[in-house]
Order: sequence, then C-alpha cells, then structure tokens
Amino acid sequence: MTEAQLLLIASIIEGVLVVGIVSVLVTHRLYAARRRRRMHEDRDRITAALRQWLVGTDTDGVALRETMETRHSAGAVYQLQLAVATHVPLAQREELAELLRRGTWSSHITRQARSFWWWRRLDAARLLSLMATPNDARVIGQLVRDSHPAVQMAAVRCLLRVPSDSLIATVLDRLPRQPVTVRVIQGETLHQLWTATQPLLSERLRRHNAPADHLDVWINVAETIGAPEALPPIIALHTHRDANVRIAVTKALRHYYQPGVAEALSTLLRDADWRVRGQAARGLGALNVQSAIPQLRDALHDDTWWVRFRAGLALAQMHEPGRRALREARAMSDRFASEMAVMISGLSEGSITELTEV
Amino acid sequence: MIGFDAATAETIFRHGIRWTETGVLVYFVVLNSFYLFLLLLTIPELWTNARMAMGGKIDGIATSDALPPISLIVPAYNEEVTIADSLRSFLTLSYMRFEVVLVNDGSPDGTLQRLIDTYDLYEVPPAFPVAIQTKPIRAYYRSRQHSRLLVIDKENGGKADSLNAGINAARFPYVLAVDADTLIEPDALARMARPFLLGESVAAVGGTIRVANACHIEHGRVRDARVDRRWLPGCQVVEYLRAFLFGRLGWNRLGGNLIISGAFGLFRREYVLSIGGYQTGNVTEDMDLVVRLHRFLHEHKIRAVIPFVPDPVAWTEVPVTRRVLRLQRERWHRGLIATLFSHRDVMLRPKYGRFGMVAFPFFLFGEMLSPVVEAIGYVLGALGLAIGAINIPMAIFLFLVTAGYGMLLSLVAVALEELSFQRYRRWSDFGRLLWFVLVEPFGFRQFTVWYRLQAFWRYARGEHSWGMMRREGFAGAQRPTQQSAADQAQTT
Repeated sequence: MTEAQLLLIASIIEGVLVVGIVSVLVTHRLYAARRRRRMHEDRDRITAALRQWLVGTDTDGVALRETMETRHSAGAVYQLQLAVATHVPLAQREELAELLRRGTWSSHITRQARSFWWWRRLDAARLLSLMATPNDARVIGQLVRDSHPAVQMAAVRCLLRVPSDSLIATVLDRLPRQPVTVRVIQGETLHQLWTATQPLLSERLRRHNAPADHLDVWINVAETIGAPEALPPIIALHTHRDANVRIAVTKALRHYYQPGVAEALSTLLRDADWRVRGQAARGLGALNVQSAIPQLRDALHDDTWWVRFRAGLALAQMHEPGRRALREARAMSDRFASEMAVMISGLSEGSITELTEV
Repeated sequence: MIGFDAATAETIFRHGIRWTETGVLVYFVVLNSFYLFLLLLTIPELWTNARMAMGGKIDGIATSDALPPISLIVPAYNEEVTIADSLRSFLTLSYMRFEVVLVNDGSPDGTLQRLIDTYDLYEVPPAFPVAIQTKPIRAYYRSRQHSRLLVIDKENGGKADSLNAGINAARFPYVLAVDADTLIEPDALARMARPFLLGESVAAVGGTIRVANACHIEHGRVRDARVDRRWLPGCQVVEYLRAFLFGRLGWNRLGGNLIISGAFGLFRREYVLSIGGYQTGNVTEDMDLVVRLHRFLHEHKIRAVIPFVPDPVAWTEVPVTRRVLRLQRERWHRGLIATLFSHRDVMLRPKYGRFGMVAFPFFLFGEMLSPVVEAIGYVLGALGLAIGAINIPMAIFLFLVTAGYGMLLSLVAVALEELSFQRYRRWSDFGRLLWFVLVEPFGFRQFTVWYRLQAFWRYARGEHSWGMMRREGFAGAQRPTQQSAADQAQTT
C-alpha cells in the first residue's frame, strides 16, 4: 500500500468519524430536549392525577393508573415518589399504597427487582417504598443487600413500611461496611424507625467481641437516634482500647443531658489521644458542664492546638463563668494558652455558635 | 577520509529529511494512539461520574455531617477591586463545614484595608503552629461577621509561600487551594468530596476548570455558560474541555494525575505537611506538589488515590491576547520541564508503580517533548518542500490528516461534554464549539507550540519569573494580577 493510499484511508475514516460524531451530538441534543419535555409532562400528569385522587374527583385512581401505564420517561417512578412526598399527607399514604398495588404497571415494575440493570432495580425499590407490604419482605431484603449503593439507599426506605426486625438487623450489620453516603442515608431511615432499631442497636453495643470498626458506626447511629436507652452501653465503651471507638463515644455523649455523662467526658478530657480530648472539650462545652471549667482551663495548656481551641470554645460557651476563666487565661505565662484565650475572647457570640457547630 | 560529491550529499540530506519526517510521524501516531487509549479509559469513568453527578442529591449531601471539613486557602495579591466580592462567593458556598483562609501576599494596594472594612476584621494572636517556614507573617485577622474567615497578612513571598502560610493556619484536614479570581460553583465542594463519601482513601482531588470569558456572571456566580466568539478564548474553551474531560479523567485508571490545577485542587493537609508544603521558586508549584505527593505515597507505601472528578467546576478567565497567552504557556511549560527534570529519578522505576512507569514517561515524552518534535516536523517539512524532497500535495494531505486527527480528539472531548454534563445549553454555543474544534489546529496550535518552545530556552537560562498577567476582569475592568497557577492544558 502506498503512502497516498494510506493517507486516503485515514482521511476517509476521520471524515466518517467527524460526520458520525456531529450527527450523534445533534441527535443527542434533540433527544435530550425531548426527554426533558417528556419528563416534565410526566411530572405534571402525575401531580395532576394525584391531586384529582386527593380531592376525591377520582377515587379509583383511574387517572393515576392511566398515567403510570402510559408513562413516557424512565424517571416516572421517581417523579411519583417526589409527588407523593410533596402532596400526599401521611394519613392517606396507606390508602394510596392500596391503589398503587392494584395496578398491573406496579407489579411489572416490582418484578424488575431481579433485573440485571441497576436502574430498574432502583425503580422497583422506589416503588416498593411507596406500597410495600410484609409479603414483600424477601424482595426488600434482596434489594437492601443489592450491590449498587443507589438501590440499597432506596430499598432501606421500604423499611418504613415493613419495619421487620430481621431487615433492620441486616441493615445494621451491613452499615459499617457501607460507603459514607449510604451509611448517612440509611442511618436517617433507622433514626425514623428508632423504636424498632433501639433494642437491636443496644444489643450490638453490648457485644464483647464486636469489632472496633463496627462499634464506632453503631455508636454514630445511636448518637443520631439519641434515645436514653442507648446511653449505658455507650458510656461503658468510654474506656475502650480503640481510639476511634472512644472518639465516637465522646461525640455521642454531647447529645445526652444525663447523669454520668459529665463524669465520663471529664475522664475523656484526660485521654491519651488528642482527638478524644478535643471532642471531650467540645462535649463539655455543648452540655455547659460548668463544674469542668478548671479542667477546661487546664486544657488550654494542651500540646495540641485543636484541644486548646476546643477548650477555649467550650469555656466561651459557658457564659460568664467560662468567659471569666478565659479572661484569666489571657494573663497566663504559657504563651499558647494566653494566645488561644485572646483569640477566642475576640469572637462574637454568633461566631462562637458557628464554630462550635462545626 | 571519505569525500561526498554534491549529488550524494543532497541525496543523504533528502533521505535524512524523509526519515526524520517519518520519525516525527511515528511519534505522533504513537502519542495520539495513547490519547485514544486514554479516551477509552475516560468513557467508563465519565459515565460513572456523570450518572452520580446527575443522580446524586447534591443539595442534601452538601449539608451532611459526613463530608470532611475543608479549609479553602486563597492567596491574594493586588486584588483590591474584586477581593470583597470574590471572598463573598467563597463564604457562601453550599457546604457544611469549611473555612476560608485568605492570605494577603504583601499586596502594595489596598487589598487588606478593603478586607478589614468589608468584613470587620480584628487582629488575633498567632495561635497557629508553624509547620512550614514562610516569609514573616505581619498579622492574623478574624472577622466579626464571618467566623469561617481567617485573613493572614504576610510579606510578599509568592503564591507558593502564601499557600504554605495558609496551610499552616488551616484548621481542617483537607485544604483546597483556590485562586482569588476563580469562581467556584456553589455545590463544587460537595461534588469534590464524592470520593470521600465513596469510602476511598484520598490524598488529593482535582476538579474541572472551565473558561469564564463571555459567561454571564452575577455576584461571583456563573449564571449562564457561554462560549466566547473570539478566536483565542474560543480555542481555549475546546482546549480546556480536551485537557480536563479526557486528558485527566483517563489518568484515574492509570495511576493518577500528575497535574491538579493550583486554581482548584483539594489536598489532604497531613500529606502536604509531610512533604514540606509547596515549593517556593517553582513556577508551577501545583504540578511539583502533586509529583512530590505521588513520590511520598509510593515511598511510604500509602494506598491513597489522587483522582480527578469532572463535575465540580471552577471558572477562570483565560488570556485574550497572544502576548498574555505566550507568558502563560511559556511559564506552564517551563514549570513542566523544571518539575520533570528535578524528579527525573522517578522515571521508569518500578518502585513508583504506574506513576513511575506510565505517567511520568508520558509527561516527559508526550507533553514536554511534543513541542520540540512538532517544531522539527514543521521545519523539516518546510525545508523538504523548499528543496523538493517532499511532494507538495502529499505534504498538504499529510498535514490535513494529522490536523484532522487532532480535530477528531477535540471533537470527542466536546462529545464527552455534550453527552455528560452539557453546560452549554444554547445551540449557538454548541455551533461555536464545533467551529473552534475546526479552526483550533490551524494557527492556535502552532502559536502554543512556539510559546512552549521558548520555555526550553528560558529554563536553560535559569529564569524563574512569573510575569504580570493582564486580565480583562469579569466585570470588564483591566487589572493586573499574579498569574494563576498551572491549569496545564495538556494539548493533544
């Protein structure tokens, strides 16, 4: 083959590819516009159908069924989920679930729970979160254990309708291995199911052989729930050998205004790990434990900047007694302590609030 | 001694030209094939990122406690006119826990006074440990209005020195280096934090820089993304898309990026401190930092990734005159040469994994030497044509095929943008993008080759200057600023 032929072939390939790509882009633009339009149409139709049902002009939900059966866009289930969350009062959700279960379209979507494509399984999980019954527990369990995080997150919402202990236990046991986003969203659902979650969580916190990386996650969930029943096992863990567990305990304790908490936090303020000491100072400030002022003033001499900073902020949160301690600290011979006291003293109330929140 | 007659010498010369031309051609075939390979790696990365970017409830995530707290480090030099507005846009980002550490690098204008007046600053003692030595700090200020804000006033020491001062004072475990004249999208921090949410051990994250020229900007936010009609900024829109959307994304699967833009890059503070912070005196301190970070991770066997995430976006103004473009590109390339030369011992060392075996050699041969090889191609082509060693129609044909290949890669970059994020919604902007894909290989590319060649000469002379860059300003006002750090657009 000559050079000229080679170049000719290359130029033909390039030309075909350029024309092809431009055509794909133009088509994609047109298709995307059409898809957006259809999605908006679906959203409007779903909302209108739901409104008709809500005001009683379509008690059988015929319009809703027709809309879902003739849905145009792939995101119709998501639109339905949004519309339900926005428009349907809690009292009518069960009635709506009954209605949704009657449609053939809904059984078609829930059958997709075993689909190869994750977005289909996601649709199934989303729909089940609106209409699941205890009969669906097996499918929900399967979706909760799905390999895709989006499906897992949507599936956990089904637990609000089917709060089975075994499903909650599955979620709790899988939680420590989940990516942070999944963990946060699943934690929120567990928070809503706190009455069912609480005993299962306390039982796990009391396990002697529980791995440290599981314990800190469970303590975080307990912190989110904030139920007093979880406090004894949490306090019991404040001397755990793993620093991450002690950090989690210290963070959790600042949400409990219960006897024993101040004492545990004061102990943690003397911990070997600076992160624990910093969090303990934060907790004492949040709970306004004025008996800890002398210890917090001592913490202004800590080797670690963060601990001095948190101790200073904690003192600033304790109104006049704390502020007085800060003023006294400004005259200390320890340069680090006095400089931290000067810096914290200059902050406004608003700034103190904002800094202690983050 | 062997003697040549004139005819033999001419034959040898002609053959020499042809062989060198073939060598240049082979170089570009290999280089462009590698780009094609990068493109193939980019597709699954972009697909995943685009789906997560569209499906994720970013607003909800932005207020989540699960996100790592971030310190934004903003070096500022002579920014009196715009600093108050820029800072406001940083302070109003949608993110749960962050602080802004603004470092006034001894600006002779009224930058500091403007900040004191606007944000009600008060001086605080230097209650920060100094981990990296910097030029003397004159004062630290906090704001009575915004507890998130810390202002450091220091003697002039350059951008790297300012960043080091900011890192010293940063409270949080992650630091985001950002230029004072860069506009960050409100949800960019939350998007940038996605690798952390996915449970990865992350040493640094790079975000996308886009061209802000011609965009409609209100209160420090890009309200309407547009493609500039003008030739220079228009070509750079395509160039930035190519550099960020497939240049860098493809490297996620090949051992990580060597370049994270200094105008928008997130780093784990602990690692930055471990390597002594930014190196002053390097004109592309961002690239140098990333290379040292890679070395540090490999030498200490730390399994942490340096990914590039395409959807967090920062907007920056690009040069609109050839003089400013020359200064910028020459400096970027000089920095690239300096960094690669000073870390040459990494080259092809299995100890450094894919970083030493793939990324580093590519940047040396594919990026650093490409203007030299391209220039040789042009010179020999012209010479060959002059003495008749090359057939004129064939030469033009060859040039067009080569330019067409580059064009095709640019078009693919535009396609990746269109099929994923589609920031440019108007058909007119889409048309302009295609137009600049078409014209960029003719003129713009040759200019940048020439500017980058000059970098070799200046590097050999030991120049370390940044030069003053004149920007139009988002509001249209002319103002001089320190040049933003290397948004090294990898020209393909």
